[in-house]
Amino acid sequence: MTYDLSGPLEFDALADVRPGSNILVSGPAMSGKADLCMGMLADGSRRGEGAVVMTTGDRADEILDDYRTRVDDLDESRVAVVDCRGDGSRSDERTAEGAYVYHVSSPGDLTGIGIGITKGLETLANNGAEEGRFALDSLSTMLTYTDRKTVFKLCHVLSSRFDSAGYVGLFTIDSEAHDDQTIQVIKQAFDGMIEIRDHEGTRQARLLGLAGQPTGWREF
Amino acid sequence: MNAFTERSLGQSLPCRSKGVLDVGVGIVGDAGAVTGVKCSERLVDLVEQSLDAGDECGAVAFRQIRPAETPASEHQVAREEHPRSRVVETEVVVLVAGGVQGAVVVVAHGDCLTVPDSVVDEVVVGIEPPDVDVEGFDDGRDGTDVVGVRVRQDDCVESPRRVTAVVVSGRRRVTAVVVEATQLLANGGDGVEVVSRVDQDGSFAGDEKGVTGEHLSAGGEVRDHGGGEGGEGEPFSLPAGWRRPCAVDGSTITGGYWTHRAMWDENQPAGRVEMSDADRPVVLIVEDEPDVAETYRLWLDADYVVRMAHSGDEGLDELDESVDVVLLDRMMPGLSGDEVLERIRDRELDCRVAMVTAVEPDFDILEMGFDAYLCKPIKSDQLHETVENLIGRSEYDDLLQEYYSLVEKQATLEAAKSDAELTDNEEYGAVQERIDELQGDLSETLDGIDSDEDFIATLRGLNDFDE
Repeated sequence: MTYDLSGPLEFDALADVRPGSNILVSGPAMSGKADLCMGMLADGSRRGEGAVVMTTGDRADEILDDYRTRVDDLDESRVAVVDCRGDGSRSDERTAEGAYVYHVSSPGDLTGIGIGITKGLETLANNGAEEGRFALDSLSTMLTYTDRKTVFKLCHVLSSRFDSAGYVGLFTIDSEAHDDQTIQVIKQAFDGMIEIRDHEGTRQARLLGLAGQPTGWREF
Repeated sequence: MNAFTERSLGQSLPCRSKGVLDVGVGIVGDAGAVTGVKCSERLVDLVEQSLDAGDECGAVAFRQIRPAETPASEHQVAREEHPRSRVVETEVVVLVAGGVQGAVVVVAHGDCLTVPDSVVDEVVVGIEPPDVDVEGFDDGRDGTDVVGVRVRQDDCVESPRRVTAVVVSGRRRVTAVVVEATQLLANGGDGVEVVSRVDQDGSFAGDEKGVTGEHLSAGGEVRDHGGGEGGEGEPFSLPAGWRRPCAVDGSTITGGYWTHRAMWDENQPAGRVEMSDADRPVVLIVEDEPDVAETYRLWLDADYVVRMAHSGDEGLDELDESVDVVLLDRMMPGLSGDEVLERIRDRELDCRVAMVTAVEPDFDILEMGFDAYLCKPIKSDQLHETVENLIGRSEYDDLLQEYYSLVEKQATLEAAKSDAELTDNEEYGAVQERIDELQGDLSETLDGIDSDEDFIATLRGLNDFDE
């Protein structure tokens, strides 16, 4: 089976994404990167796939509230949130609606992130989700807690893990918050990149990598 | 053809060290037993020269070649047998000279062999010899594939004969190749069979843990298995540069391997051909029960340099940069395993620590800073697997670090030069090529982070490094 990510963004190459693919979503602040990723996860949840969200910004309950509005009759036992905002300690909980939440001590706590993702994937698999989608919002926050080298390696290790788990991964980065070299390097850890820009008042995206040639810019 | 000597099987074990044999050479002695050892290209050349010069000894050389150099389509069968594996093909060049009539190639650890039949009379693929408990040989792991290659006699009397076998490995690398020649003309006469066969009753196999005191004999003694039937007759004159095997104490023995001077470590008598200590990973066992510690040591001794400590304090004394893996008993009088671990981490030593515990722990154990755990009672194959896995993690970290450095370099070059300039830039091409290689290596190491423990421990390693 393959993943159809083309719901929010109609590129042919996104309709047929190989399990294990990891995609960088790059664009300026407030350009809808997270919204795009959550839309792609929601499509999966409607089909019964698992969804794992790793957040460095919004709280887990905010993520879940938003997610419920996206998916009717959401089966929350197949949703996991790894909340990295961090209060200095690690803990996990099961929400009243059944979602699994793991709290990491800080965005720089990579061990905690590893445990949270592992437990999240395990929970989802136990609840019948063999396939799933992952979103990390955002790598830019990670880059303020640790250096480029560590974030690059983190991306590579996460990509490898999702590859062997058969998931697809989406990772956002604020294209204006970092120098070109940083984006160039981080990009290398991924199979493809969705680039977003604001152009004359409209929001446009294009796809690089995944399947062949870069696409043209398209409004969405 | 399917007869194996206790000696050749046993002696092949040291070659498994670190699981990497890029280039190896085995020498046929009068008893006809050959093994492979990790050595340099130069040594392969030496053997070839030795053969060209007409030395009356057989030799076997094998080389690891890159997967890209052979078409994958030829090995569909092997792929089907190892659906999850990435196929690595290794050309085993068997240089046979001096009257070697036949050779048996054994590849340990679940590898498959194919041999072009144009060059041999008989090829036996994938058969486990009925009179050998292969489980005992390879510590109960993936099993062992065997290929028999009977070289035409007339071919090898006149000139060295090349037999090329392609090893299709489910593992990253071919881990051991044993080639056993069945006959040497130099020994004179027909039917000089290989030395003592493995007993039909399977006594070679050892106990259920896969340990036999014989093939893991710790003292480095090369036992005489009566292999010198041929040698008992006409004295076989050694060509220049070759040395008759002798035991570690220097006494002469019959049978065993003949070694070339290029293999000699001047301080170490020849006889047991194996990787030098400097090439082998170091494992430190910290365990207060002497019997248990000794058992671990016996299991690991063939593949690793093993150090022992009987308490936490002793363990800290034994610890230095050369230690790769520590097996740490959690419950010890004096310093506990947890305390020892803490001090190891404080000293920022780059070693992996496996905790040996009586109770099955959770991921929490990984949070504490251990890299793996083993629950008592431990079996030989578990221990091997864990140590190998921990060494694999170190390899992964090193590869990832190199990968990152090259990606940085690539990005720097891309920023400084135009596309046209890059096309002609040699450095850029080399970086690109190495990046591609590393991507492959990384996805093969640790099976591309297939397990939860590897995943968490690798991320924790990034943290440690960062701090």
